[in-house]
Amino acid sequence: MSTTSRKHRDFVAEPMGDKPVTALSGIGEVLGEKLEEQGFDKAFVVLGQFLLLRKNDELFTEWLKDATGANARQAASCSQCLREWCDAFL
Amino acid sequence: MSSLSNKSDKEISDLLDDYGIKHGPIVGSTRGLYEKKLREAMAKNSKPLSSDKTYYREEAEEVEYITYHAPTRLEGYGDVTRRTVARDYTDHTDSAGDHKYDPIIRPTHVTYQSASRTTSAPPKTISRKTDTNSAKSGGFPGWLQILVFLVIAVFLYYVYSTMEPAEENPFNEISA
Repeated sequence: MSTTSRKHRDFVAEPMGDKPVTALSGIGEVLGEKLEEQGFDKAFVVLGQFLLLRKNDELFTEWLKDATGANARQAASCSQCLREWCDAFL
Repeated sequence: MSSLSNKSDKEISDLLDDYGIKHGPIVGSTRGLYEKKLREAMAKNSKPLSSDKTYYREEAEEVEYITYHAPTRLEGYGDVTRRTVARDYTDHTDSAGDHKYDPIIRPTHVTYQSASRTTSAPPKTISRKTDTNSAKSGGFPGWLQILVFLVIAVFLYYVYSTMEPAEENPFNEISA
């Protein structure tokens, strides 16, 4: 994960406000829908889970993979995105 | 194993501590993940290592750090800052858990002090497992320093011993 996507940079650049889960890097239409089904309808709800897991990348990626069937790259991307957001705004 | 789902959040939390799995609050959205982690840990080694638990005594003014080696099974947990947060946080979740986080935020020199003072059994039994950890958390283990020193010494001696004949030979050839 040395390079970051445009989506990642966009997300990390500003407070997340009411952005949808699909604004998270690594979360596309399909994963976003699965998250919404489980009540994670906003990016900040996913952030909540990330924080509950103590901002731990390993735990969070594992949870995301279990919950949505995300692959390792998607989960890592989402985790990195949230972590950097936290570093900037928390 | 299937009894995990019947356990209370507190029991799950204690089990995670026993297995040295670092964790946050056990709530609805995180419990499933932690149960899975526990099952994995239980499959890996059948019984929790009781020696992994932290206990320390108050003596005079300083707290003695005896053993804490939970991170052996998890990578990437070596940093001190996260644990500092952990202590504040667990106050709400498990009252028994907070003392377990305490020793981690002690500076490492305390570790060395106590290691030399305590009976040597507990630190030695686990020192092998956690060499990488102690190296990460500040300072190299003693045997590594000695090893590096020996390697350098041997190397220098080797250079020295190979240099001499090289210097002597030209003179020999000239004199001959």
